[in-house]
Amino acid sequence: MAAALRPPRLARWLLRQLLPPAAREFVLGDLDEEYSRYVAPSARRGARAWYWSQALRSILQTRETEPVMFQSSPSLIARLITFAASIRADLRIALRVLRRSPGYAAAALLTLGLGIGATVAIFSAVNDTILRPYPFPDPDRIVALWESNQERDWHRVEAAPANIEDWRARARSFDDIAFANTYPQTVSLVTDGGPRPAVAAQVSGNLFAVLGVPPLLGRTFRDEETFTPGLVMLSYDTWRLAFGGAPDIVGRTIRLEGQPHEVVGVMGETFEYPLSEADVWITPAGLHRRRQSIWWRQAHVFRPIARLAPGVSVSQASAELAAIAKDLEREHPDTNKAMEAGAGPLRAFLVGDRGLTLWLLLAAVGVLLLIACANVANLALGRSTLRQQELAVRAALGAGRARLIRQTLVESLVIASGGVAAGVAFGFGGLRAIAALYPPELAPPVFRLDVRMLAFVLSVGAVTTLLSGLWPAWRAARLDTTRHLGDGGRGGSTSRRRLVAANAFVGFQVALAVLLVVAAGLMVRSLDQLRRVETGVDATNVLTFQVRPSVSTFPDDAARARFAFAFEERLSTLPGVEFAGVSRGLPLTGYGWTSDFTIDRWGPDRFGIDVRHREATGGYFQALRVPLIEGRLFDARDLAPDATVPVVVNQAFADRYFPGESPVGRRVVFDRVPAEGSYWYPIVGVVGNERKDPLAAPVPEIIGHIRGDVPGTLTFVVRASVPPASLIAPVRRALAEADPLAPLLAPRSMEEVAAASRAETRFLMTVFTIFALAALVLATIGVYGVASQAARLRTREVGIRLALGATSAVVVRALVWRGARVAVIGLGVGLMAATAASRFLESQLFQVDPRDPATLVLVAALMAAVALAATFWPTWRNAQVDPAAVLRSS
Amino acid sequence: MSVTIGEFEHLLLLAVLKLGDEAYGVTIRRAVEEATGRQVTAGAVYTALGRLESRGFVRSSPGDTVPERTGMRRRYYRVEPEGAQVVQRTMRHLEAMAEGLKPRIARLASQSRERG
Repeated sequence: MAAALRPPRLARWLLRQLLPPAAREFVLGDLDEEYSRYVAPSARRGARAWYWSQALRSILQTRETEPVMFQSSPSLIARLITFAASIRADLRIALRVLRRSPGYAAAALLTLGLGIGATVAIFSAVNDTILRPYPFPDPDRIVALWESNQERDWHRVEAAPANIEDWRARARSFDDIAFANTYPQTVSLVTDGGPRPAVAAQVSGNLFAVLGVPPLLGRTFRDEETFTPGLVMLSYDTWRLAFGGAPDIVGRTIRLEGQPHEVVGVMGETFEYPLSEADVWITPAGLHRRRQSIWWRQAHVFRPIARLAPGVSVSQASAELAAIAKDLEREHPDTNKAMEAGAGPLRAFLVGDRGLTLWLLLAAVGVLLLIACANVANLALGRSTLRQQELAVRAALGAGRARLIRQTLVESLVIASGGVAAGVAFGFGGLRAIAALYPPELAPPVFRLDVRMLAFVLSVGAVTTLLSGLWPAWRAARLDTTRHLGDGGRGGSTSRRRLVAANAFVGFQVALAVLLVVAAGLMVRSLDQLRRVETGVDATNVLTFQVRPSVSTFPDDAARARFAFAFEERLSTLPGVEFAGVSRGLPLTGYGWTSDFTIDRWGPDRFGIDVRHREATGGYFQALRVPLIEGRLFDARDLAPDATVPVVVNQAFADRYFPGESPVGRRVVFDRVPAEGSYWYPIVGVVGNERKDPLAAPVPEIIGHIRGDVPGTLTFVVRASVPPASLIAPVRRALAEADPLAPLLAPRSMEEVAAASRAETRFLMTVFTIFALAALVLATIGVYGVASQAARLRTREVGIRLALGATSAVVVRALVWRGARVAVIGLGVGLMAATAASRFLESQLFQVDPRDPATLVLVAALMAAVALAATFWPTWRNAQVDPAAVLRSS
Repeated sequence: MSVTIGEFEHLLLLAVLKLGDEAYGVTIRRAVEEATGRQVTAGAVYTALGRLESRGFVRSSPGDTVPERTGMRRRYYRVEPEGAQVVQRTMRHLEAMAEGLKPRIARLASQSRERG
């Protein structure tokens, strides 16, 4: 708790660096004392803001008034501050100038604010996900371990418990190896307010020690407690919300799944391994009974993590693991054939491809920011034409060239700072949307003002200042004083040259906008392809939910099976329900096991590897409208106590293993070589393919009757003739009768499940579309602005042409073409850049060629139409002049 | 001798007088903030007190520290006779000037508030 009263570290560091030495002890000490004694305890929220405000203002105030003290310590930063103080005059002028042209200031601010806001939001995600160190001591020494198997096409999968134990015993590269189950498991937790679902993470006893994170209260699990039942640790939120933050929570016995568990400790707020949403941590004690079975070396269920021993590199550790895996392959050829092992930094492992996605988004938003800068530069350039006289007067009165450049740059700085402030505010909002991209193992990003963030925001501010201000500043310095004092500012060749620069900006903007619009177009097509994927199930009007029958009422598999069938029966009698079924897991969620198998009458050496298998009832297929192709579904006769447990296979299985014949009537066993006690499952039917996830092709699958292996978490699917949401209340009532201790878990419509499987693509599409629209709007404004300036400059020319008898249509056509040329060039460059850059997008696309011609043509047409319209309007308006009036005025 | 001080320095001198033995940065700053309702920064307090000290109006001496200050000592202030004189003089000038004006000032001030 004491840590919370410490002032913000960054602000304090700044104070220490920037205060004059004589003031340091006084000001720092006072602020520390006041912060921790008075401010922080009474106003937790405002305290940090108070400190920041005190710190920054104190620095300025002590600097400004004590130049003497200051010179005695001329560090670089100190000199910069002096310089900053000396341009206060410039600042004042800039503010006055901007206040006089609020339209310009608002346009520039908004443009930059949106661009910077989007950039800050995306960078926050990059910062939080990729750059910010994990809250463990020496996070770089933590590695993730994995197993891979080329024969099975496994890439960096979870490891089998027996293999982890052998690694731990033999490897010298690690201080210790721990493991955790990274699949969220929902359990029922009895709190003061009744049972509620909670997400449990199963971890080995030494996990907390390996990560080096102490508990907030009590203790963590001990190494020897990995298989000790009845222990639980609570997350900070669970402690606070479910148990009211009771100070005596440690040592209390709470009920989890109906079983008593002793609370040994509470973790701090920031600890979220292996799941960001973990409510409780438990030990995998239930698995202990399988320790002697082959399952222990076959079931790849745990993600091992380890702390590297001092002086050992990741590659050395990985090499040692690979060597041990070779030994294990020799020792256990039946389970470990072709099994490799390796290690890699935890962060890279967790972030995976998401890192690339985030960098891609950052690049896209950077492009948007460039367009925004070009727009602001163009605005400033347009203004500098209007201000040429003012600047010329100042130059004539003796203002040096450097001085004029500085003045213009300071104006850009003011606008960029405003843009940064607005952008940080926008960025907060944008971040919330990015959370959609995140899987449960990674916490969604939040905005944190840390050193990296501050550096990024400051450099974005500096870059925007330079990009939007340098060119106008340079123009200001090259003023021809005498000419501008004489001329009324009508502008001759100087304006023309300015127009060349403006045109270059516009071409640049159009090219960048094309780049973003192409990317957005590809993402839209990708999502469209994804929507068309045949999922193999009919998701409309289906409600899904999960139930974990309470262990106290339904202690074993047989009791759970009775519950499952009775409740399925009960569900199908609810009004509006057509079919109800039970299964292990849902399609499109990637959930499932794989096993090796063999079939009767196959030769002794023939077997299949790694076929997916899960369990269901007949009602499951009916509820999801998975077609029966051959044979029969499971039905009442399979429930007889002496009946064998049947399986059905999917079409992909039949095609792969029984081409041209029927698998119905054959028998399958889940072993490579059938043994004495192996269970032979008769294949009774063939059903249609379901997708395990929308991005993968259908795979061969065996679905057993759920009687054979009753999962602890039962997934129910209910097809209704009424909206699925309206069924939730009656289902909950029915469950309360059947098992009062079991909460209704994760009730969702199957359509929501399907939408969630496309969430990442949908999110990327949305973001790119927003960026693309913003780019399009900004580029249009740019084209329009330059076209109107060009039109104004040509008023005389138009007047003369009209006077000489040209029709306005002819004049407009000629001028529009001249103006649109630059947009066409930009379009060409943009299309080329887009084709070159699109390969970075390839990994994010689904069944869309990154050089998809339809998208490119469509984008080109859109961009051309927009550019033409933006050029046509001001040119046409200008051609409506009265030639006589124009000629008179000159 | 026509030594003058600003309003802020005046407030500081009064605060130091009022606080007696307990006059150091934190208490002075809080006293001025409470009296005026304006935010005052530690930096401004330090700068102004330094100015007053160089003119001989206050004297400072380093004192004790508390754990929160991580070893940095407090600096206690005392008003010197010259400081008291300048406070006295300034207040006397103000009072002389305001002689008989209080009702008018009050009336005018309330009017201007009404006009917004």
